Amino acid sequence: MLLKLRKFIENNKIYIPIVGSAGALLLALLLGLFIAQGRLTTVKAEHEKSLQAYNAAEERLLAANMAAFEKTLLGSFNEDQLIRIAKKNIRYGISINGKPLGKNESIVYSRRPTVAVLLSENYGKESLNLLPRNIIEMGSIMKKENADKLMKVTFNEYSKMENNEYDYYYGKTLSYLVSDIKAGDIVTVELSPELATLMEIEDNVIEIIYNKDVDDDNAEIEEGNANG
Amino acid sequence: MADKTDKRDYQRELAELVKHDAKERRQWFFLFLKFVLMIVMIMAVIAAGAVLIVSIRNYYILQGQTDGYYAHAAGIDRDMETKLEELNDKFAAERLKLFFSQDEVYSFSYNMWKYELLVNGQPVDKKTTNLTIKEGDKISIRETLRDTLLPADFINIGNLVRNDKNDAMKNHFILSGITYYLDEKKDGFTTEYTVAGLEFTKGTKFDIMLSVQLQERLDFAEYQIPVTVS
Repeated sequence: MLLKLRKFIENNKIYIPIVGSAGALLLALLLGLFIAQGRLTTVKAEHEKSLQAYNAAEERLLAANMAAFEKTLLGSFNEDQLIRIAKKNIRYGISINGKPLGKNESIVYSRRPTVAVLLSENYGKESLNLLPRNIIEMGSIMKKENADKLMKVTFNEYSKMENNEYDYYYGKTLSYLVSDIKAGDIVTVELSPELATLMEIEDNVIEIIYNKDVDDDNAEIEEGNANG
Repeated sequence: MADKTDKRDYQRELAELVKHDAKERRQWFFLFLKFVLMIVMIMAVIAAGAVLIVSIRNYYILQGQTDGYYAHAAGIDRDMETKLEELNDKFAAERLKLFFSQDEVYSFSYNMWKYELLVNGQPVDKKTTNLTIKEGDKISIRETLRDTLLPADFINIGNLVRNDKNDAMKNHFILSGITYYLDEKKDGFTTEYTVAGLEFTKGTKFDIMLSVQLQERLDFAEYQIPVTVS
């Protein structure tokens, strides 16, 4: 076998044409590859442009559709009906000290002398794709002036509470920050029944107990994460 | 003497053998290099060929997608010029169906439709139990939709046939015992279905039969109204 191979390789009459033609073929292929890569670069740039044109056309159509839809909605439904439609497309949520409240949760422990309750309404991209922003905003309830109606907060007289409203384009958040709480104090929050239904929360009265020795690390999450 | 000669021969032979062996090794080494070169060349040809094929394939795929995107964008622009209203209606109908249940759509759009029984264009009183008409009179049903911006797909759910393409007025408004057809004339938000294909002659008697749904829409006391041509 080895000798046969040796004979084959030693025979320059066969070896040289094979290697020579392979070399020529390789050169031709490399040239082809060079040309193909050039064209591929051009077509890639064109592909990117076509995708942009496609997206721009889709966006133009969506904007036109949405403008007409807004006109139809405003011309066909009264304010109450529009608010009802808007509310169906908003997700409402509550978090206490940065932790979203569970469906059946009615007692929450805090390790800090402050309690931050955030009520949020969220109309993400999905909702904005379904309804014009002007209509969605008709369902907005998270306003500072609504704070008392949405949720009643009971705390000791030496504690303080502050309300704030935050608008982050895809929704709004209303905060209730109770500070100067002493160990063992209980802060009670009572959500309006309508809001509890919107949030799909079964118990609308929640007790927040300030207990320094709570082991649960999750009870203390930075307030900044509270939007989730 | 002879021993010395043998030894020299032996040493010479040995030297030649060593020389020959080195030469043989060198040859094998060159052969190996030639073999490696051949293999490398063949592998390089295969690899370059494969890359070229993939590149060409990618080129055509991207070209096809590019054409598709441009065609789609042009299609959208064309549609926006020619049938924007239809697209707006479709867009609105899809969303409205998400916001309302079928029942809510029905009860909302039900009141947008009005039905009347007419003789010569004049509404017939809903308490009528017997109708007397004259020769050449025209009997018709008028269906009126309140002026609306809402899409047809949404609003039609509340009409008599509940937007059922297989249903029609002729199934709800029947004249028994005579041969006729219903002539449908649409004008904006109003459609009139007029009994046609016959002349009412003196003495003819027949019954107007209303479906339960149409009777309810007309708010008629009876679903069967005997008619006499006088």
